[in-house]
Amino acid sequence: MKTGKNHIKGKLIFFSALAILLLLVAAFAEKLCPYDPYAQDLLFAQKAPTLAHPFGTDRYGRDMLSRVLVGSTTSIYATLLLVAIVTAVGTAVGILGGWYGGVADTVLMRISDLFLAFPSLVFALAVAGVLGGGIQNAIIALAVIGWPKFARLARGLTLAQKDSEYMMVARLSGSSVPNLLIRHVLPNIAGPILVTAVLDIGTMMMELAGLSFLGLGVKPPMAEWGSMINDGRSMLQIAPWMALAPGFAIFITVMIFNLLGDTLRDYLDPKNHQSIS
Amino acid sequence: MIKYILKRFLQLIPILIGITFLSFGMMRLAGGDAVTYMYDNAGTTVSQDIIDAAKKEYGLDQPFLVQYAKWFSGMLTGDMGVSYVSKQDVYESFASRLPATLLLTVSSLITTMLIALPLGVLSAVRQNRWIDYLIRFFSFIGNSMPNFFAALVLMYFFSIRLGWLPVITSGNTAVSLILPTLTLAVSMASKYTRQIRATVLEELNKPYVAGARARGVRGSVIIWKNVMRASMLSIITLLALSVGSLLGGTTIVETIFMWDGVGKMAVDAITMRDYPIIQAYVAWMAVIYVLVNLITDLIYHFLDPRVRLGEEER
Repeated sequence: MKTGKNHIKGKLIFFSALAILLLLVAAFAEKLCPYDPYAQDLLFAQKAPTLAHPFGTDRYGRDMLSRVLVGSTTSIYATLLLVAIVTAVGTAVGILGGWYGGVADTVLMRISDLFLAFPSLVFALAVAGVLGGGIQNAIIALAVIGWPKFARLARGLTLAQKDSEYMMVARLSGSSVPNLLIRHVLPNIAGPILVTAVLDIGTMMMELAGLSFLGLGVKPPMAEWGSMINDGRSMLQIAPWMALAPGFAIFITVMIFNLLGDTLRDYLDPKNHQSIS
Repeated sequence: MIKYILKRFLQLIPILIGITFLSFGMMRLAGGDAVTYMYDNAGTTVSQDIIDAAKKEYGLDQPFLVQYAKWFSGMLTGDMGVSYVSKQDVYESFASRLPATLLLTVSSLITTMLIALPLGVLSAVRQNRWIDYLIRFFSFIGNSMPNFFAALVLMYFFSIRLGWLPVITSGNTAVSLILPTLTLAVSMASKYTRQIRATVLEELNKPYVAGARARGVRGSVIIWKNVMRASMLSIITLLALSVGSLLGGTTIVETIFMWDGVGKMAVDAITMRDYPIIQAYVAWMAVIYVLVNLITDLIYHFLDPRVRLGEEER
């Protein structure tokens, strides 16, 4: 079965729409909440899902649906910020390293080798442990280990561009180096980097939630999916919805961004351009 | 060959120094001091004199480089100090945690391969049939599921709903091993199935497969004897990465299931700021990193004549 370009384009539009919907929900979460996510009502503690509380209530009687909604703001925007940071830093390092080469390039690539080989969550854990908890430190910890992937990618792509003919022409015609890098190299390597960045959203979201889950990310009572799951973990026997509701929220969000990334990759893949039917 | 292995072992030294130095420095810079934290934790207010005495006892009053040099030479002789929290010998408490992590590593890798190998091949051979879509669907789901969520879902069904398995580690190791193993296998098998499918598909499109078919070699023989052999390299690369991270202790899974391995030890040490333990853990990760890379390269050597011959020419 050959997947036609139109088919891929349709899928791309569909998944982009889903992702944008998620972002909108996350942005206006406060307004969408049926209840105050922080208001405690001990009379209604640990109630199973009902029409009034579709996801049930937690041990303090807070509405889970509202908490999951508010948690989306933290989880999704913190992840996006994180991915934006690692993409920007990694790409900049990779382009400069690939363009100039030399000792600095070699050292940077050795460092990135090390980071790539380490199990990332473990290392982030150590960094977060040293810096202390809090969402800011969790983002810093994951950013420290996240950039090398993009540096590698950008470096390889830059090297390929550097030797191309059009680049030689641009150089001969007297373009300055910053001009070359920003006007010519960057647009030509943006595709694969964008795909990697979108596919990284899911991974990063899981890792950020993982840190919060271990108590090293967001601090309660702030609502965030990872720490909410951790909160509900001990209640799994009595009130399973407390852990399962935010769990499904992460799962579905990660899935949507992964599908978007996969589709984007297919869309930008030159192999699929030939099979226009 | 032996020279090559020796050379690789020598590379261990700068990497070990680099990583431990970095982590050592980071902890001294940002961690504040463990002694104050220790007394805060105990809930007692003590005078500055006692704090100073305790710092002296742990050697925290000395200059940074002296502390580091002492620690490093101690590590080489098997003396990594004592834990701030439990007062136990770091080396011993580390060694006592290792078997649990090794057991989980082996069992989850075997389970993963048992799931992923047949499914990946089946998915590739039946490309774009319903079974392929089904397998891809499930591997996609497994890929999008954080492992702590997978752990809780498995726990909910098998332990709470069905009551078949204990919720956390009990006396019976074999039974306690099932859920952590399954949790790890869910995400790893999903990744592997995708990878194996892609590799096998790539191999199947090569001319030698068509040649073998034309000569009348049976399909199953081509798959298991030729295609699998050629696909082994990329599978081994994946395996090596997994072994590395599994040996580092799967922090989250070990914590959830109260599995007493090195990953859980590290998490506990990090929350308690138990620096000697964290240091030992970081050094252990560095050693694993180099060893796993070395072993992977050696396996490449034996499996792939191109790598072997390429190096002899040099």
